Amino acid sequence: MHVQDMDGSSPDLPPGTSGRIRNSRAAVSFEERADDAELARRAGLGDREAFAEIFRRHGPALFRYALGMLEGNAADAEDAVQNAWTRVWLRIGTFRGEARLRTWLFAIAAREVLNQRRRRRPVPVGDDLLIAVAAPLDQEPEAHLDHEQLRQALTLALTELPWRQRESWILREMEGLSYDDIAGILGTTPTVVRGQLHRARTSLAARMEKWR
Amino acid sequence: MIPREVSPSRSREMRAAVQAFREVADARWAAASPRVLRRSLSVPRRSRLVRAQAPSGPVGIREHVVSAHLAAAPAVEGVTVVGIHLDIDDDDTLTAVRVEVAVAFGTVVRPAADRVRAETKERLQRLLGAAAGDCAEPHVHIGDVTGGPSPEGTA
Repeated sequence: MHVQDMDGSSPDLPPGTSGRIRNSRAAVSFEERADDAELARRAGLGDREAFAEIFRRHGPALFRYALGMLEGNAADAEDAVQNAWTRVWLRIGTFRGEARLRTWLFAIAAREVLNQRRRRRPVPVGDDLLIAVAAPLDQEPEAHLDHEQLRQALTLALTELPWRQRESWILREMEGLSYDDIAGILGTTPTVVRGQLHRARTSLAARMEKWR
Repeated sequence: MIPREVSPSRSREMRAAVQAFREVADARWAAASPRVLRRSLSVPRRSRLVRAQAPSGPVGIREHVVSAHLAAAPAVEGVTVVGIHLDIDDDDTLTAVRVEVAVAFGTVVRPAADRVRAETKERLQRLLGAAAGDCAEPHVHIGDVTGGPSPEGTA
């Protein structure tokens, strides 16, 4: 069995769950060693600690994905991942391991992110928004490598991408998923994903040109 | 002018933008994740009731609780519980249990299955009380063989 990537962040877990895990050295050791398939099997049988470990491993990536897809709106992203994780808890007993767990989780998150987008009002992309990104800088780029500005520029640039291109780019460039995995999540083929990524990269490179 | 394509993974500025995005997202997630997990786990899984018998009277226990209880049985070496399947009558009586397991390569199968069956019966008896008597002998289904002995024995 493969070993899943461990995400660097380790968000706090709610009282009760985290306490049980962290107060037991044996439990901590086992949870951390167990691979995703084993954790999914146990979570499907009702093991909340196993579910919490899955949540800890993959929660940050799903939230980053939702945040990137929903124009950096943290409240919307939280709503979307809340619905996704609730669905995961209810349905993880049906996970059969045909795909990697991470891919299965992203597929659920992708549906909930799309639902969240449908629930809210559309975000207009007006002239101000375009100007904010495209305005040329009159100083050396080195002086402007402010991370917050870069983050905002990237968020705006992502907002301008068509939905599928945005999904492909985030899953590939931010989360490092393979073309096959992305195709599985989006319900398309790796060839289509490759094309979407090419267009997304070209568009983003143009939008971020001023930062070079 | 047609912009030249630059892979974001190779662009220093894009890498910095992605890094900044990740840092902000991860900080927000650190704040939100406890409540997201708490809310997720507070949603009850839908399942049927199983009738149990306490000394003071009848008790209803959800199917998924029974399954979780059986799956948490003490370890049988070389055996991993993969699934628990319950047959429940219209009057909420548990009539049969099938324990689906995977065994490690080299495990002597029949004695291991007997131990799983014995553990399951004992757990059912403790959980359901006299109502466990309505359940047939637990069926153990060995559905898979894993690569080698498990260091933990997670049945």
